[in-house]
Order: sequence, then structure tokens, then C-alpha cells
Amino acid sequence: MITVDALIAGPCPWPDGPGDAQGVILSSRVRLARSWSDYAFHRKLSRARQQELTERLVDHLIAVLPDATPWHLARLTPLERGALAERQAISRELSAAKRPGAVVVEPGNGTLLAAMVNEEDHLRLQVIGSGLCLGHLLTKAITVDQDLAKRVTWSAHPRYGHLNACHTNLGTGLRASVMLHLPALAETGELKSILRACAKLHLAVRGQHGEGSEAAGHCYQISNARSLGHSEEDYLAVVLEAVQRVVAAEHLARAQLLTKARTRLEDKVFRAWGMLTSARRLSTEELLTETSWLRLGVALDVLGPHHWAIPTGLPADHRWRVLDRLALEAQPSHVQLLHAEGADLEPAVRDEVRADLVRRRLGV
Amino acid sequence: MPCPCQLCPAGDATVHLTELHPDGTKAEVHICRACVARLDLHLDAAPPSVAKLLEQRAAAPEPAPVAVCPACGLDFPAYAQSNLFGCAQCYDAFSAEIDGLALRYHGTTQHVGRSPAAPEDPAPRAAPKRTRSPSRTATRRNLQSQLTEAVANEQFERAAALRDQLAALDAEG
Repeated sequence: MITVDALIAGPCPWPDGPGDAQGVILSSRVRLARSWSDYAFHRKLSRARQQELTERLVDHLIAVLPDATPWHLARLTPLERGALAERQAISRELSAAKRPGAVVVEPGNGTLLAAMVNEEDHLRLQVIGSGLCLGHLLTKAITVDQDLAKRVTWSAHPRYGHLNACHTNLGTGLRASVMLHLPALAETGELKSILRACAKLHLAVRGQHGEGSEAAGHCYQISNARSLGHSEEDYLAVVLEAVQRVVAAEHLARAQLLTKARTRLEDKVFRAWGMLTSARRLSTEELLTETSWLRLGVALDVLGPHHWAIPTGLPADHRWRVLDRLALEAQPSHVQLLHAEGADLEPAVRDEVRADLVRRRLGV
Repeated sequence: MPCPCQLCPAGDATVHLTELHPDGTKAEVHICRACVARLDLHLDAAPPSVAKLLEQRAAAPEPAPVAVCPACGLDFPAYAQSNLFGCAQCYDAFSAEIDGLALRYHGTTQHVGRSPAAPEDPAPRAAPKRTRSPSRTATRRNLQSQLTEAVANEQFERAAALRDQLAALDAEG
């Protein structure tokens, strides 16, 4: 069992896991959408039946995941729900929903399993891991899914496979996604053509927090848009292939910035360093944008150890971890829970707390 | 601005008949060329009475029935507003529309991945099957790799717990 406080204060697969050596691939996620044949989908399900569904499904999840912890969302504060959404354990939609719902979490070794109950579908089973690890995550998700299928009959159709509330989640109900840090492609303007190429391959490219969100901090999530007509492994292969190509393009764009536009790059990185180490108020967007440039500066050794020293005894990738951890901890709900004792702060005060946190973490 | 034909729902009226009655009242009808042809009217020779013409009104085509899911009562226009179905039975109730949706979005209507049903248990054998547990070496290797990662990730409390588990394993001999 784990408390919400412990989860939020504890490690997260994205900033705290091993990641990839070049710092382009941040995290991987596999999600399976499932609906229970005993119940209508939520738009036609009464509140009492939604409550019953939530409780029964949580019981089944705990039966197959004995080490997991369930949280009913109605018992969490808005800040706690916000923080769970900021670390992608639940969706923004479920975080804001007024209907019954729950999340069952099981932190693992470099992974986080988070099963959302009564989201758009009855179950959104997701496993998140650091770096590129889609195969490992799919194995875990399928194992839990098959264990659940021995206890719960999923809604299914002989031709369409799994049935869910929206036709975009038919068939496998799978969404495999990889989060990438792409500042150089964004800066050189090549990102738009990459996004167009992804759309032709039926891949979706979204900002860090899924549908409808902007690409804060140059973080983009690439995922399969289609879910019907191919096997789970085939969808993974398409996403992996695209990720490898985009990562190669990002490395090329980084090399171009270094050779052809070094001063422009240094200007971005040192302006970011100046702002983050001096500002007395920082919005979330400013923080995400500027830590993104520092991240690139560290990756390309533009911001070397003589500018930002690593304290003795800490690992070489300590600076990345500090930046990635900041990008998570400095988001509104985390700031208030971790650095203001859960107080509901005005945005301007929050910006002051955030700026103070950043200066402390950067060691100035 | 053309006015609509009074005899059919489709046409714009281009023929306008006015009938004067002996009591001073008048009756009007406005019809389209298609209805003139359909009813074989000879307007110059023998103009028909307005009352009789209005009896020839073409039956309006029945509006196409709106598909409704018998299980949850959702109709297709209501689905189209939110892109969310009401229940699993909607997929049978709207199968004609769903095939089109699936083809446009997924490029197919046929699921290929794993079966949604629970995997079947292997057939029972005559002799009881021995359950395999991981060997001590495998468990030790697993714990050791987790310990290495915990130290690398600065998860020192977890690292201490893993170190204790390793020590306990070694003490069992």
C-alpha cells in the first residue's frame, strides 16, 4: 500500500528512471481500453451503477494486483487529483470528472501501473516506464488484462474485437506512446514536416499531456492513432520505427544547431539559465520552456560543468534528473502539495514559490 | 425569390393559378414544372380546379428512420454529437454506420489482435504438474540488478530493503 503523498513525493518513471543515453526519449506508455459487458458505457449508466461498477472493478483489480493501491477519486482533494494528472497516473478528464471513479496504482521497478476506472471507458489500464520500453510495458499490461479477463467478461464483437465507448478505440483498444524531447527540431522548424509524416503513418503526435494540450517544454508524445486491424505487436513496431526516425532527425537537428547556429543555441541556453537562476516569479509555461533549453544545453555540453557544477559524489546525469524533476515538481498541483504544505495558492504566489524552488534546485 | 411548389416538396413553383369564385373569393395554387408534367396538365386548354389540384399533392417521402439502440435508447445523431456510444449493443444497432466509421478511421472492419476472451487454461494432465518457482540464482540476480538500479536512482531506502532481502537469501544457504 502506498499513500497519495508518498506517491507524489516519490520517484516517477519519467524523471527518475534510467531514460536513454542521449536524453531524447523520456518515457514510454502502453494503455489498453476495456469495457465490462455487465454495464452500459458511462453516458448511459446511472450514477449508482457507475459507483457499483467502480467498486466491483477495483475489487477485481486488487485481486489480480495484490500489491496495488486503490484510490477513489471522490476521496482525494482537487490538488491530489491534479498532481496525479501531472504525473500522468490519471487523465486530465478523469481528474476533473464529477462522476464516481478510481485509480489503482502499482509503482514498479522503473515503471508505474495506473488503472483508471470509469474514465471514458470502464477501464483504462496503463503502464508507464522510463526510456524506450514499449515491449516490456505491453507484456505487463497484457498479463494484467488476461488475468482480469478470467474474472470479468469484456465487451467484444466478432469483427470489431474490443468494444469501447468511442469507435477510435475498437479492436485492440491499444495506445502505445513514447514521449520525446524535441527542442532542436522545433527550433530548426523541421518539426512540422515530421508531424505531417507521422500523420500519414496514422500516428498521433500530441503535447506532453495528451489530447488538447500544447507541447509544453518541447515534449511530444507519438502514439498509434488506429487500434483495429493489426496485432498489438504490429502497432508497437510502427510506433518504434517512427520514434527511431524522429530521434535520428532530432540528433541531426542538434548537430546542425551546434555547427551552423551555435551562437543562437548558446543564446537560448544562457538566457534560460539567466532567467531560471534570477527570476523571482516563474509561470509553469516559462519553467517548462526554459528548462527545455537547459536540458538541450546539458545534452550538447553547451552548459558545461564549469557553468553548472555537479556536487561531488552525484552521478553524471544528475543535472538532467534535476531538470526533469523540476519540470514535474514545478507544475501547479505539485508545487502546492510539495512546497506549500497543500495550501491553495494564488497563481502569483505560486509563481514565487516556483521561482524559489528552481533557484534552490539549481544551486544558486 | 421562388416560392415552393404546393404539390411536391422538391420543386420551386413557376406556374401560378388563381381561381375566381362567383362569391368574390379566390383560390391560388403554385406548382412547379415537374408537377405540371407529372399530372399531364393542359393549362391553356382546360385549366383544372384548384381544389382538385391540391388533392393531387404528392405524398412526401417518409423520412429515413433514425436508428435507435434497443438496449440503451441512444440514437445515431446523439452519438454523432459526442462520438461516444451508450452501450456495447449500439455496435449492433448502428452496424451500417459503424462499418463506415471503422473503414474511414482504421482502414478496416476486422479485428486482428488478441482475442478479448480470457485465455484458455492448458488441458489438465494426468500427473499433477509441478509449479516452477524461480531458482535461487535467478532471484539473487534479479534482486542484485534492482539494488544496482536503486542505488543509481538514489532510492536509498529501497536499496537498503533490497540489501536485506539479499542477505536473508544468502543466510538461507
